[in-house]
Amino acid sequence: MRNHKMFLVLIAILSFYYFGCASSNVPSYWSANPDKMATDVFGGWVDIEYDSLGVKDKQAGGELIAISSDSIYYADSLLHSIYKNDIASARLISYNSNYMNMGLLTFLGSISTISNGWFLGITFPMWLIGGTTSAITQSYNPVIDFPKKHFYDFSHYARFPQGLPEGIDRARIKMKTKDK
Amino acid sequence: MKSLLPVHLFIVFVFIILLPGCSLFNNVTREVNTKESFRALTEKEIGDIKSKTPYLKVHMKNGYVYVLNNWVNDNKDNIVYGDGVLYNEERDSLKTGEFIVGMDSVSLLETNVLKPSGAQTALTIFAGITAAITVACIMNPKACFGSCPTFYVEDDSGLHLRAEGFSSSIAPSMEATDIDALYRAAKGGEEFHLEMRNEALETHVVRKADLIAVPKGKGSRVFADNNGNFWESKTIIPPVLANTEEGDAVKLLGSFDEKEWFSKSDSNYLGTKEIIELEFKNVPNSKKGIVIGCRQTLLSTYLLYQALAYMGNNTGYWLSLMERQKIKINENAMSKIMGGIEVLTQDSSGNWNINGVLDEQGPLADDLHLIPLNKSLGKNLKVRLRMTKGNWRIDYTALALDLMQRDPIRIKPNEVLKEGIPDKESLSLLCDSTKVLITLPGDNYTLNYKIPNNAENYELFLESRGYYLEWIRKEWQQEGNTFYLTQMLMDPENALKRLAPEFKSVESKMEESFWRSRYAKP
Repeated sequence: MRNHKMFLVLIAILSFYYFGCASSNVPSYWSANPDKMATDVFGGWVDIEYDSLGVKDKQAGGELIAISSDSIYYADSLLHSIYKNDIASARLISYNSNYMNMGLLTFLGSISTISNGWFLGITFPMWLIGGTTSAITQSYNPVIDFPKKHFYDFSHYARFPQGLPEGIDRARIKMKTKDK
Repeated sequence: MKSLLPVHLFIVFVFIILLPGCSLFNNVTREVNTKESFRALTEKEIGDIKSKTPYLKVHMKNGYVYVLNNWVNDNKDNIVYGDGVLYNEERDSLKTGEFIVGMDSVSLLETNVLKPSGAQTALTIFAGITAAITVACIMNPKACFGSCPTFYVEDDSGLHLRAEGFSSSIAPSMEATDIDALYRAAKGGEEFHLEMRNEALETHVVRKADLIAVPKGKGSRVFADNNGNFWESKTIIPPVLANTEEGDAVKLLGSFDEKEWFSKSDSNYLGTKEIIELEFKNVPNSKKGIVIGCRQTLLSTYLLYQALAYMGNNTGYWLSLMERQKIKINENAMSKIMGGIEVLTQDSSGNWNINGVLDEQGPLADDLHLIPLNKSLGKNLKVRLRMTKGNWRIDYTALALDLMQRDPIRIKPNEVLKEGIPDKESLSLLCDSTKVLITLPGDNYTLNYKIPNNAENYELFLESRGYYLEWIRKEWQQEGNTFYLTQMLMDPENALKRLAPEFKSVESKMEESFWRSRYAKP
């Protein structure tokens, strides 16, 4: 019976997470923890949905390199640019919110209340609702979405917040690798 | 309820393992300024920024970026300078050192400030309410063995407890670095081993356990001061007299031999001070310092556990206040009263002045420290050690002469074994300062180090960093008393008077109970 309760709790929390938390294609090694942002010299991760040459819903993702008056520059193994006018939506992840750790704490906190006897009626929903809400909130803290926000807000988290520097060798600009 | 206990404990163990992650739940506020708006900042605004973050990123017009630490903005010369790292446009590190950056070539200046997230605060409070952390202590609950990772080292007479890491770091926000002298360690060859154990009912969060090797000449010894500096001395002389309230203790204090001097606490007020006056004869005029080998008695441990007991069922709430810096355990009035060992010398007017304070926490292992002395007068030197009565066990005092500062070599472990089996993951965690190794009661790790040349040419120290989490026992939860807890924080003098009789009733038996309650894995 206890195993059944735990299973239901896990399903409930995972459902909240699936529908609630901010999603992205950012690689697991990418985002710096908040305390490293002061010394991190790379751009945030950007996911872009855009239209190009008559083809809708194209997707791209990589390190945000720079923003100019008419384009966004991002890099994977190469540097790319997309006209701002072609972009339908974009999501920037500026740092690691660690919301998954918070989620695991929520799960453990929730099932720990099973042994609280009749207090379960108070503490269990407190964990499930409060804890899950906390984790969902936390997951959105480092997220900036276009068109909800302007591209100007993205620029602060670009590798070159001042714009693409004149004269740089664009062929040598690549996104951060795991060992950097 | 009893049958649920193992499951509940398991859940709590895993929960506590993840608790360190709470330190990652901060949010970041990034400010990007043009050089014009940065130059327009007032001194107060600059000071405000610096108080929140020591780092400044300077983005250059050519795509390079400086990450500066301890930076200074000089509007008069139109520069900003500091020490740090220069990266190119591909973000390869080009140079580390001190830089002077002319603002003419600067595009933007960036700062990043951390703030705790609201989500983190909410979760911590939930955790405080429901986390049931239990400790099994058979005798006196406040004499439960505890106090962070213990380190065992081989010396001439076998394996002995010689260091305890970061004893006062009882919460994530109190994570600290600790340097312990491995003074008696047997040395020889190019390999060095020590054992790191979790012998208490605590969770230990270890960020690093590095060996420090300080080169020294033949016949010399090296000591660490409070600022992490290392001093070599060839001439170390014992006191000729050591006056205490109980008489001359020079026989106990003159050699580092595990025969300790200690006093009993005051029966009426636990914060009462006492003085040991040391005398040294025929002291030459050279840079010198006092060497003290000591550890705490269990008085401070008792007060800590009593405070935790007064928190009762609301430990999580109080810990969340600590994590949010609403209360600062190390800076509160109680800590200031109990204090460390103050080292005083006389000036030409006969006034006694403090040269430094030894505030090494921990009741488990004697540690050696050096307090450099101010310029002293005369060949016959008197030094006073002032401390809280009954709070310290002192094994050794000496005067180290002709001090020369030395640069240490830091050595990471090259191999880690857990319960005798090579553990590459633990090695990787201890060698990466962004990660931590979590240990649970009964865990035992052997750390191996490679020393350049022969270990006999070096004085060895252990540099550990981390924090630990006490498991609060059920019996303490019965003692919950917000008034008494508040008294400890806000009116510590009266709290120390009130607790004196209770502590005196257990003082003489505490040592025995403490050491017998060490956790041993079945």
